[in-house]
Amino acid sequence: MILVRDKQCHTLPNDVPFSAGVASGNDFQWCFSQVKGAIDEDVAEADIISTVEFNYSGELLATGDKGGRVVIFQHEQESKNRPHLRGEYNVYSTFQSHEPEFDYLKSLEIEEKINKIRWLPQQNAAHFLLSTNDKTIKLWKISERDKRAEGYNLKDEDGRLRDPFRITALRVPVLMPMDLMVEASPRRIFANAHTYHINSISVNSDHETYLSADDLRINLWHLEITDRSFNIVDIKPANMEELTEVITAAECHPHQCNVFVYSSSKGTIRLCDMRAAALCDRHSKFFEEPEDPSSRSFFSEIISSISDVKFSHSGRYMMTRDYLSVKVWDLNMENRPVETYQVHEYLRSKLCSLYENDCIFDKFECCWNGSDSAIMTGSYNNFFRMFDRNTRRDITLEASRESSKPRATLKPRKVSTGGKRKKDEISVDSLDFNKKILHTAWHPKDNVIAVAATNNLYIFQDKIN
Amino acid sequence: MEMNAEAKRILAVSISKLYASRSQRGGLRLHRSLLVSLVMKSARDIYHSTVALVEKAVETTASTEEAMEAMDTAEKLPEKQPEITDNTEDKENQRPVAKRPRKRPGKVSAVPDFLPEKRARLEPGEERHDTAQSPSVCRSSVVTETRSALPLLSRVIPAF
Repeated sequence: MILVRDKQCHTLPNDVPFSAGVASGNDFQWCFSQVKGAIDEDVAEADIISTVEFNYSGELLATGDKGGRVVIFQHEQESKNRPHLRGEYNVYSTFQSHEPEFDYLKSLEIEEKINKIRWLPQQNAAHFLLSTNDKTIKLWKISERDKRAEGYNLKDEDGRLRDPFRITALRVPVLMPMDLMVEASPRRIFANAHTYHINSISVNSDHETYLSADDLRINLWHLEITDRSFNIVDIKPANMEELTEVITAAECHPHQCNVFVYSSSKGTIRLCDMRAAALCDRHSKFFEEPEDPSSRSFFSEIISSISDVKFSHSGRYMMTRDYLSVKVWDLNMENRPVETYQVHEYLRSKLCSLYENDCIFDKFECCWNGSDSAIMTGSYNNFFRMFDRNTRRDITLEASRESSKPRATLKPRKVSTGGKRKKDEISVDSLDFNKKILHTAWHPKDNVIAVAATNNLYIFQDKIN
Repeated sequence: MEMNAEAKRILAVSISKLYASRSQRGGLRLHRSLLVSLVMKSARDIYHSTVALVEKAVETTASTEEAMEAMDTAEKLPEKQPEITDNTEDKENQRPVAKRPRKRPGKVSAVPDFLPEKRARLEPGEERHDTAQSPSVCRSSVVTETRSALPLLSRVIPAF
């Protein structure tokens, strides 16, 4: 079970800003807001956070973990006593989304790990989200209840049936106030449609359909229908020995419900138009950057594999993350990205060791800020990187308990890339590769970010001076 | 030799990774297996091409006469250039064709297995220099028929 521990922000007396943050073109500092999760050094595998996602308004923040649980945090409005705070995220609901299963036909265990969570746009008082493990997608309804019906005719208050002979008069049940209760109930279960492991789910802008992608196929679902889905992409070769690439991520366009993209292990991205044909095996656009032959190595294929693809909020751009870099593509230009940012180029000389210790297979995700002016992605040693698209400046920050003092400004970190190591720089050899930030999320409107560091969720916000 | 050793080590690591992935909880990951198999293929290609390059080098240094002949060919080539059409692609394609009749058929391509005594005679520095300069050329010149030596290398083990 995830333990929740909040740290509250308090004003520090001599808090001098010393470095610029990256976002929205304005300089500011990032400051620590909260950290969630157990403090223990000994981390249980089930507590490792595997996905983080804000809802459309940013009021709710959902995390999924390797134990199959979903924890939802709700933003609480600022208090009058602490006006410097813009509110905190506190636990709203926790539920077990997926349980471990066993496929008897294939003699395979299906892990309960939550691979992805996607919120649905809010339509009424309740909130809906999709969560998926390797095989099964579930639609959850999260709703509040603060009243309960009392005074039924056929059952008493404990729910037991009343003796019919004792019922002498009919009465109208009434709603009585009760303590607020948040319920999470599974509304739909979309199962048995994926032979391989699901890596992505994405809700379409029509708010009625969504797509799910595994290693070789992409399916299109209607949110109300569980027994049928349309296979829109299938890249499985007739002979599996001829397999050269797999689908690594897929996403629907934020505004055009007929358009979606999917990335591949070869470092390419295909944009498909569902209006062109029912089957989208043939793409409409193909985004690929020519490989630099001078940088070829044993691991070229691995490091060029795309681990995440995300459309900008505007829908004009998309961002892809590979092992060493993050790239921004203009949808109107297929031959090369418009921006390329190196995340941790200093690891290029360490690829062999990273292959041996399996780190090279880590799937780093990436995210946009609300105005598409900055992007964020993770790295090792609990470092995460932000890139300002306007100024082309970048910053490395660290999610650590040492810097989690109330309202502490995050100090930019630097990794020494050869030569003499300067003061406050960290050498590449002393980076901790067990501490990795794979999942991050940026509030859709504010400069509030959620960073998953193993079993802890850090929340940072811009500092109001 | 260093490149060879590196390729061998990566091959061994890759094989152990594929083996371990079979017992992985949640079943074999296709993406990961594919990437591992691609690394194995690169390592295998580089391993074989390194050995092939080394053998070629040994062959050329063993016979001085042959080496002189090769130099002569190189000197004569510019004279031949005007005869060749302006198309650069053709020029590239014709060069080895022009060379071929002057050269004795290479033992490297004729003999599928490598000769250990030749490899032993090589100097490590020379070999490393060769491979470091043109890894991509090495990759393209690989004999793919050697698959039987390492049957697992280029194949992804299907999950089901």
